[in-house]
Amino acid sequence: MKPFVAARRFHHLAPFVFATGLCSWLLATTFTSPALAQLSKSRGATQSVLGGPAVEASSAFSPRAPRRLAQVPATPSLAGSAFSSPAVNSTALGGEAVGSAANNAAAPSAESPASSGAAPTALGTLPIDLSQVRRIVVAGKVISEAPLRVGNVDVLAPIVGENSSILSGLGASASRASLSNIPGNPNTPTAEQAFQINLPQGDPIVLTVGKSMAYIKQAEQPLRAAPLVINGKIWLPIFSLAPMLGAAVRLDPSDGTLHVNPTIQSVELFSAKGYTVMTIKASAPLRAGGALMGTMDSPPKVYFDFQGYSMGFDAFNSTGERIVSAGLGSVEKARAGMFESFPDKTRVVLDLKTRMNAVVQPLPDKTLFAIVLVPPGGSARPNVTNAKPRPTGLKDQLRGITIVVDAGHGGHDSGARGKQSMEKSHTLDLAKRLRNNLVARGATVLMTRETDNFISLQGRVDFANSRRADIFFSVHINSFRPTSSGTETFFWTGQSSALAREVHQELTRATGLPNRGVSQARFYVIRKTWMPSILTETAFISNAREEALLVNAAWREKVARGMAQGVANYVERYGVRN
Amino acid sequence: MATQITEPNGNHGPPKSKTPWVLLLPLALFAGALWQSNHEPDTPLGNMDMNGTMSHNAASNAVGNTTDSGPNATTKTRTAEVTYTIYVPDDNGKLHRKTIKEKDTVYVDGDATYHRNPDRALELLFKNAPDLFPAGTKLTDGGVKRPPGETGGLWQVSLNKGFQESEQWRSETVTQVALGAIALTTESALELSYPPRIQILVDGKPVQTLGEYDLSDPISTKEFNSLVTQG
Repeated sequence: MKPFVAARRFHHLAPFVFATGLCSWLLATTFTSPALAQLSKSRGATQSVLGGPAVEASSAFSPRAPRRLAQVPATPSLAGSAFSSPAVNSTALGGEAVGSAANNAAAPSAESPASSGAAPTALGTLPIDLSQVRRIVVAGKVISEAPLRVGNVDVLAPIVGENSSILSGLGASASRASLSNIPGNPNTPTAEQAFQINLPQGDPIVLTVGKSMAYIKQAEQPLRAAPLVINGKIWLPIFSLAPMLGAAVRLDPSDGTLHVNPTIQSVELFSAKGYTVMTIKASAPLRAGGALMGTMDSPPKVYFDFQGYSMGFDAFNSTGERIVSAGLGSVEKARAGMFESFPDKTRVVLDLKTRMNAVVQPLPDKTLFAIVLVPPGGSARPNVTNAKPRPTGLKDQLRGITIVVDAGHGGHDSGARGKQSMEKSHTLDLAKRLRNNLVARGATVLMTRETDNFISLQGRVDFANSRRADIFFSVHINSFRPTSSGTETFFWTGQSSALAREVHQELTRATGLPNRGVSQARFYVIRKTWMPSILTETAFISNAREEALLVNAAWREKVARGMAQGVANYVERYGVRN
Repeated sequence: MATQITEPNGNHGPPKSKTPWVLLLPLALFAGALWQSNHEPDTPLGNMDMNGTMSHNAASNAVGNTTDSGPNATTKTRTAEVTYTIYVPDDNGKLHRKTIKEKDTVYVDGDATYHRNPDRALELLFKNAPDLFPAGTKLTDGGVKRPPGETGGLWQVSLNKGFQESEQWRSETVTQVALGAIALTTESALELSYPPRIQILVDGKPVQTLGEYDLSDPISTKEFNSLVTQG
């Protein structure tokens, strides 16, 4: 076709070309108007003083005279269990954690009709009907504008610009994008439309008006919908952004309110200067008065309530009670659960072997809440702020290291199927056993899922990246033909190859199956996570002999120990980033 | 009354716009580039062996191949027996080369002869590895082609929707082996002098993920070399 003929054939598209150009110009013009001008150039996130009156003074807590602190509801059930609120589907103490789908409408059980049968994608399908959403509340603040629904993909709300204080409730702030954070040539017109969300720690999230892709450390992070400028305000895709902020999005079906809350993400116990220390990590700086402490004598417990914080211990933001840390010193175990919903309150409980006093330890990082356990009558305020965990044995091998353990598949995504079992069940069981073995070595372990739930690939990635994990370990089971056999480990980045080699060596020793080797493959979760990441294929569920091993609990435990030993070997030989 | 443009196929276009012609310039340039990309000078690829069988092994054709363009006005065609190399899995998830001979059109340009039919090669792959691909997997939208204006070695493989939606991809090994088989078979059939980047399309759009696999950017055959066994 000659160019002139082409011009004639396509000339009726000229209005479209003109309209496209006009839209681009309007977009750029609108964005550089007050909407962007309102963005502060400061990176400073809101930093509130840790704790209110109730937590600032350790003397406020008397372990001998258990008292209900301000704002803690006077529920008689507190005497029996810290988790017996009717708002929570609690499980037996010490039992396996079970997600509370009823309280987690934004991410219900994958068996719900809304999500069953959907093909899993990187971003995943939203398991709720977004037409139910009537209003959005971010960290307790109501957004006056009605949310803008983008199909059933995402909802947009104006949470930056004039409403910058709303974003600060999630521990973030917005500013114009630094040129160094914009991928490609910063002199392009789209650079003018870029802005960034600053987090309390880590790299900012760079967003562009009209573009459904975010960038963190110049790495692409797909969004469900693009940010828009409407009436001079920047509207952000809530479901896209929340995982990057470590926030939970939960729909209250009774009134259609979509709650976007900061989360409590992990609990770590360690010994320092002879004391047992607990740190609780939140996604946003703890607000003054946001953490309240209570105690019980029989059995001895100390608990901490975080008003306005949802559960963020897995990628699903499951609300069910669970054990979040194995015991150490005077602590038998640490549990967490959602004590109240809408507004949310997350409670962390330390089950104690003997009565202890909990003394709040001020820390410069306001997203960390720390307490030191001291015997009754002991030192009133030991200073362990600068204490470094010291490896002293097996239980301290992985102390101070955060590992995300990812149980592959889940919910409607069963993974591969054998004759008598499904991959998703084996991956979950192995992941829990791996978690226990890693915790026994002192690691802080975060699970992408602890129940039979579907989590998108991007959701798993967001979970690991937003928690700044040191290691990402994805557990899978292989499948091909009935005679396929062996153990295989995958990595993508160069920094992950050493981890893959170390784990694979111990894993093949544990499985006793043919060694299929260590390979590079672009599996989404190990390609998109920033830390050393591996994906293991323990055995073939399609092979009857290997499936028989998989259904054997003793064999699974042996395999999980091997995996943990491999991680420990890697950390010992290569260390982890600071 | 607005004038209507009669399209070459006889259809009538929309009413003529009064938009200034200067706005058509980018489109005209684009169309020109499109025309140019489809009419590049051709260089014959590959060599016909003595008994008239065309080899499709990419490695054997690598030397001397400098372009990926197709037949031109001076190219002649004839029917000859050609050999397709496809990559099929064994029971352990490794890929083996398999050759299949068929009669097909080959292109003759001077002393050189070449044959490029990746669509047929992939059809043979789907037929010979039925448990690797979802039932009914087929090429659509022109099969294997280079996107208009593409000069960076990108080739697109368009497949039907059933390919993407299958539960087949719940197995990581099946996914990896299937993609490796497509990439290696396509590369072999394209007879290029460079390793192509291959993008999977469904409904005309690039597939972003397949099972656990990240396809957000094109794949290359070197990613699957560890899957290939000799013999």
